[in-house]
This record gives sequence, C-alpha cells and structure tokens, in this order.
Amino acid sequence: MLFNSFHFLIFFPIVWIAYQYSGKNKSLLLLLASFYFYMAWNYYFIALLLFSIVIDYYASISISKFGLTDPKRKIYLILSLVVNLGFLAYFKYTNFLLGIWNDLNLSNFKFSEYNIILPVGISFYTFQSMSYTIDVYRNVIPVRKSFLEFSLYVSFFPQLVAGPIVRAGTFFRDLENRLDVDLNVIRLSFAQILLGFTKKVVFADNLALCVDQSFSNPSLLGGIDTWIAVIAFMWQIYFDFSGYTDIAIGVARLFGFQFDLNFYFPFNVTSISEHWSRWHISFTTWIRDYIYIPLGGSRGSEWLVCRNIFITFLFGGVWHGAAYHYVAWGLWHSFMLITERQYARTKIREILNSQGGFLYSFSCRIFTIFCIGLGLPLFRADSLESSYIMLNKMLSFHHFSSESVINYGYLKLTVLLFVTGQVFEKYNLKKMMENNRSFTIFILVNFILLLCFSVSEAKNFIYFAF
Amino acid sequence: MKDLLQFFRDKSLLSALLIIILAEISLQFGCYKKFLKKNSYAWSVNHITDTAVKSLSKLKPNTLIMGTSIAYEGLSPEILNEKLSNEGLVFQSLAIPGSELVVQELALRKILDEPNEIKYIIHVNELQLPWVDRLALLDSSLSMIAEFNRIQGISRLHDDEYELKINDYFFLLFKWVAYRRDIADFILSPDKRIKDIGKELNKDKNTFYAYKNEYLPSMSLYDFKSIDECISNSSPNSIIPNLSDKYHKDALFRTCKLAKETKLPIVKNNLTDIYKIRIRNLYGYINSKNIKIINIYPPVSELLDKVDYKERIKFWNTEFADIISETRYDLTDIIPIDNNSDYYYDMIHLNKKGMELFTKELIDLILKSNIK
Repeated sequence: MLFNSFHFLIFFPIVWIAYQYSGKNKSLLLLLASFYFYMAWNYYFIALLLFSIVIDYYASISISKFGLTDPKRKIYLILSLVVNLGFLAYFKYTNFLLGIWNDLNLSNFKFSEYNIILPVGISFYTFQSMSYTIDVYRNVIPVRKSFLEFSLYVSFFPQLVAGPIVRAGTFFRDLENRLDVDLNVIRLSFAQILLGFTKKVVFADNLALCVDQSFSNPSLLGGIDTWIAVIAFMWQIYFDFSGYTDIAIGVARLFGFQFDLNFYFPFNVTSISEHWSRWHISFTTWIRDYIYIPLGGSRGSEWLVCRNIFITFLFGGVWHGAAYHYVAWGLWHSFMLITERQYARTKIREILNSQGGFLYSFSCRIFTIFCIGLGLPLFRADSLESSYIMLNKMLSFHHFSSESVINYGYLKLTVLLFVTGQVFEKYNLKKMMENNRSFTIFILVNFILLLCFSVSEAKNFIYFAF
Repeated sequence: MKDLLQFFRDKSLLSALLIIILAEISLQFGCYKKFLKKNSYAWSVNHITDTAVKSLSKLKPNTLIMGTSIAYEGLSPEILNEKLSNEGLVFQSLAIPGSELVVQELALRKILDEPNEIKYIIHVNELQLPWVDRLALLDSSLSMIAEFNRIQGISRLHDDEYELKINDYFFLLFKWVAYRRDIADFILSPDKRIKDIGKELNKDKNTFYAYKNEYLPSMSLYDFKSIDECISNSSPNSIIPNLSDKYHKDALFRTCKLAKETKLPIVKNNLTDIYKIRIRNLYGYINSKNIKIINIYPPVSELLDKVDYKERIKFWNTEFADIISETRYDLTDIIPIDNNSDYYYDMIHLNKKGMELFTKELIDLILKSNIK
C-alpha cells in the first residue's frame, strides 16, 4: 500500500480510531493492520515475512538460553543470518550473480534470467530483524519473549516497506512507554505527515518528470542538461525518501512511537562524510554498527581503515540494487571517503579549516555537491553504459552545451520547490507550532502546494525498489 | 479521541481550511476567470462563448457556426457577414478548438438560454478524428465542461455515455481542482500572465468576433510530399525556414504525427455507436429548438488518405441517415491540388489563405443552394 494512495487515506484513520478503543489489544491490532498493509501489495509474500519473523524469534530465544561464552549462541546467530541473507540473496541478487557468471565467460554454459519478484521492503525488514538477533547475541539488548511484540517490531507498517530501519532498543522502549498522544503530538504528527506528502507528491514527483525524461535518453542531452538532470535527481530522491520518512515518523508518532531522525540537510554539507552522517541515517548507522565497526572500524593501520571503508560502502552500493552501476556507485563513495580521509590528515586542510573562512566553507559545499552529483548517474542510470555517457557529458567541456531537451519549466519549478522545501526544513516544526500564525501559514502553503502542484498519478516511492 | 476532536477545533487548522474554502467560493463565483491563462482551454471556451453571448443583442446573429479548431480557424464569420448581409443571414462562430460534441452542446445551450434569433447552425463535422468516440474524458474536455453549468454538464456526460471516474467529478465540482494547473502556472510565471491580462484589457471591446485567422505561414515552407517527410522536416532538431516560426513547426510536427498515428477502421462498432448516440443527443437538442442544421465536411489536406476519408464519409452518411439532415455539403476537395500545401497552416488546420478560400466556398454554396 502506498502512503500516497486513496487506499491509505481510508486505511489509516480506521486503524487509528480502532487503536484508540483497542484497550490491551493495541499491539495485536497494529500487527494485524501491518499484515494487511503488506498484503495490500501482494498477499503471498506475507508468508516470507512471517517465516523471517519466526526464524529470528526462535534464533534470538535460543541465543538467550545459553551463556555468553557458549559457542552454541553463534550457531543460532548464523542460522538467522543465513536465512535472512539467503532470502535477500535469492530474491534480490540471483539474476545479478548469474549475470556476473555469464559476463565472466568462464564456460560455455550461460544462465538465463529468472523471473523473480522482489518482495517489497525485504531489504528493510531483513536488516531490522537481523540487527535484533545480532544485538541479542552481543547482549546489547535483552531478548523479547513475546512473539507478538517481536512480530510487531519487524512488521510495524509505518516503517515496514521503506524504513527508517528502527533499532530494537528504540522500538521496545516506545512499546513499553508509549508516548502520550495528546493535542501537541497530534499537531506535530499532522504537520510532519503533511510535509511528507508535499515533499513526495509536489516536490519529488514533479522533479521526476524532468529526471525520467532526461535519464531515458542520456545521449540526447548536452552537458548542461545532464547536470540539471543530475541535480534534479539529487533533490528528487531526497524529497521522495525524506517525504516517505516524514510520513512514516508522523504516522508512528500517532501510535506513540518516536522514531529517530533519518535526514538532516544532507546536501547542506562541507564533506562526503558529513553527507553520510545526515543522509538515510538509520541505514548509515546500521552499516557502521554491523559492518564497519565489526571489521575494525577506524582502529588499526590506515590500510585496514581504508579497506573497512571500501567494504562497507561496497556493501552499501549492493544493498541499494543488484546491478553493476550500484556497485560502482558504492565504490565511488568509498573512494571519495578514503580520499577525504587522506586529505583530512594534511596540513593544508588544517590551515584552510582555521583560516579559509566563508569562501573555503562555501567551496567545500559546492565541491561536495559536485562529487555527490558525479556519483548519481551511476545510481540512477539504467546501466553502466548510460552512466558512462552521462559522466562523459558532465565532465567534458566539449559537451558543455544545452540541447534544450529538458523542459526548463521544470528547472524553474525545481528552484521554487527547493527554496520552499528548504524554508520548511529549516524552520523547526516544533518551534513553528508554538506560534498559531506560522502554523496556519504552514498548513495553508502545504495545502496550496498540494492542490496546485501535485502530480495526479500516484507514483511509487523510489526506495520501494531497494 | 478527545485530543483528536480538539485538534479538529484547532484555530490554525480551521483558519487554513477557512481560507481554502473562501478561496474556493470566490473561484466558484468566477473571480479567477479574468486571470485564466490566455489560450488555455478554459480561457478559450469562456472567450468564445462570452463573445457570442454579448453579440446576441447587438449583432443579432441568426446562424451559428459550430465545430472544433477546423471551423474555428477555417471559417470567418466576419467575412460571411460582409458577403451575405443581403441574404438575411448573420453569422457568429461558436467553434471551439479541441471540443468534443458534449462541449459544443453545452456552449450552444449557454447561447440558446439567452434571448436569441438563431435559426440555422452550420456544423462542421470531423469524422476522421480519433476523439469523437472516446469514453474517458481528457483534462482539456473537463476544463471546458467545468466552465459551463456543471450540473447540466454532468447530466449531458451521462447521456453521452462517458465513463466518469471519481476524479472527473472532483474536477467538475471543485474549482481548486479545475484551475490547479492554471494557478500553478500563474505562480511560476506571474510576469507573463500580468502582461497578458494588461493586453486583454487594452483590447477592442466592441468587436463581435472572438477570433480571426491571421496565420500566414503554410505547410509548403517545409517542402514535403508525404506524412513521413513532414515529420522528419518538422522534427524538433530540424531547421526553421524563413517565414515560419517554432510554434508553426511544432504545430506541423504534432499534426503530422497525429495523422500518421491515427488509423481508424471504417467499421461499425460500439465506439461508432457511441458517437452516433452523442450526435443524436446534440441534434435532438438543436431540433427541439426548431433550428435547422446544415452539415459541412471541411477541406482535408491532399496528403491525408483521401480514399480512406471518402469511404469514411460514405460510411457515416449511411450510419447517420436517420440523424443528420439532408442538408449536408462535402467541401473536402475545395482546395486546389497543385499548391494544396499553400493553404494549410499544418496538416489539419487552414492558414489565412485557406480560411479565405473555405469561407468563400461556403458563401458560394449558400448563395447557390438556398439553405433557407
């Protein structure tokens, strides 16, 4: 079920009102609602979700039965990881892996492509479920005995299909001490949900018109057009995903759950590492805690640290999609982070940091956007070949022209929406609601934007595909 | 729940909703009509019908020209009035670009609801075009229907067997929805819109006519002998010849593509039946007002499939034998074959030269055939 669908507009109020009157059965109601939410997409795959839940529940209970040093704990952890990663590998990576085999030309035998449907949200709920088992294994959190509560943790509908990836500690804390949903909480949630809809339906979906048009025919674009398309995509994906997150956080808050921030001005940054600390925070902290740190993190020799960054972001790229261009995108980011790390150790950086002032800070921001932008054709283009065409046009002065393929009305719209979006984002929602007049203006502007600029056709959220 | 109810009484929320509702009410009362984007469907339909209504008391037309852009571009009521004033015929055009039959009927109802002297309607039929039999409504049609009496519009849409969706009802009933694209355009390009409003205010208000075809460029500037050549010579990357401009090239490209992609079978099916129902409804209404209908088949470019077109006319003549009056005239071939393209602005519409010829041929026809 899409948040931006008529189905959800009916589903959500019914669930919320039923929740108010469900007494002690609140968790059961939410679980059933979550299953319905998932089944609205495809009811067969609920079996897969249930299987994951049962395995992780069984593994975590089993782990908790043994002492901390007992090697049997590891067996159950491995069981959980093999099942979760096995499903992920089968549904998401089978064709990619077989394609690699075919591309390697190691034998005359070639695999044909399998028609495998990717279960929506599998990357998100698998990570969420795995993190729980790992945390129980590490003894970071106590095991949850209630199957109902654990099931709800994995399948809670606001974050089920596209995150944020919520940690068990946060979720169970809120489950035990749910936020009192009073007038202020309702106001805040309403504002956040409204903002999320505006980001998605107005900003992201309008930008998508320009982005889809450009990326479908990269060879027709001039250098300027390509850069416009890339910047438009940068904002599209931000508005799309952060819009989804806003709706998810707002909806969850109305049920008494307080999810952590997932985006915080990710493009208003002076370095790539700062960008990653503000972009899809729940995912970044996941790969930090469960991949980078276990590999050794920033400890050890410089070579080892670089290796850890490389592996972590290679994984990050592959998580986003099963294709060479996603791998290349992950590697690009690892390359930038490693380079940045080396630069951070130089004297020049130290001097510029202390004496560079505004000009240095501004240049860093522009250069960071430039570097992120260079990676985006790898992320968005249909293939590595298309990415190459776009990168060639972005970097070559020979192609630095405009073929007027892009409708520049979209660029104008992008700028307007971007400015409005920034104003919204910068203006702290909680603070704004203290003042009735600014809250009225906020609601009014959002309503008008939704009325006038929304794209009629409900479009999927980009991160549904991951 | 108490908090939720309190939230619904929240002053900020109510104030914002109140402003939206007040704005909707003012839109419903037509406050935005003057600010509509020039040449948009909503603007055109208001401009054409309002001009026609205003002319009823002073010009006192007794003959209305109805149809789509072919009639809008192709026939000049001004020239017709100059040449036929002695015949006791006074013409006004109610032709609306892009209009389906339901829009034409609603426009006619708007005129006939006023005191009038209308006795004849010249209906320029377009039987070769794909949109005469569509089941779903396009945004352009919705935009135009929303400018008329909406209750009447919805009733006519049901009579014409359109498949209305819930979104269509929202579009027709709420002006915020109907004008959303227009308002968005106003927000994005206020300078251009204000200029247009200024120009509109300075326009001669005493004219009886909504439009006059002043297009001089012709298809012949692009030098082609087939539809495929037309598409290639007018494609976005092609060169614009002298005396043409980018709007002309774009119009040519779009209409040539339309001509290439439109392949309508000449067989009786449920869609032709629907068109029959619709034209029966329109003509039934006209007949109920004791107005005589004269059907005209307009000129068609030599580059279009004439054989197919003649077959289509034959097919429709048989199909419509019980609906369309005996007074029908085929003006398909009036444009000279030798320099045919000189008379067309694009593949479908006539330019000024073509309009003058089509109007002249209609004058001759009227003088010859005593339509009264």
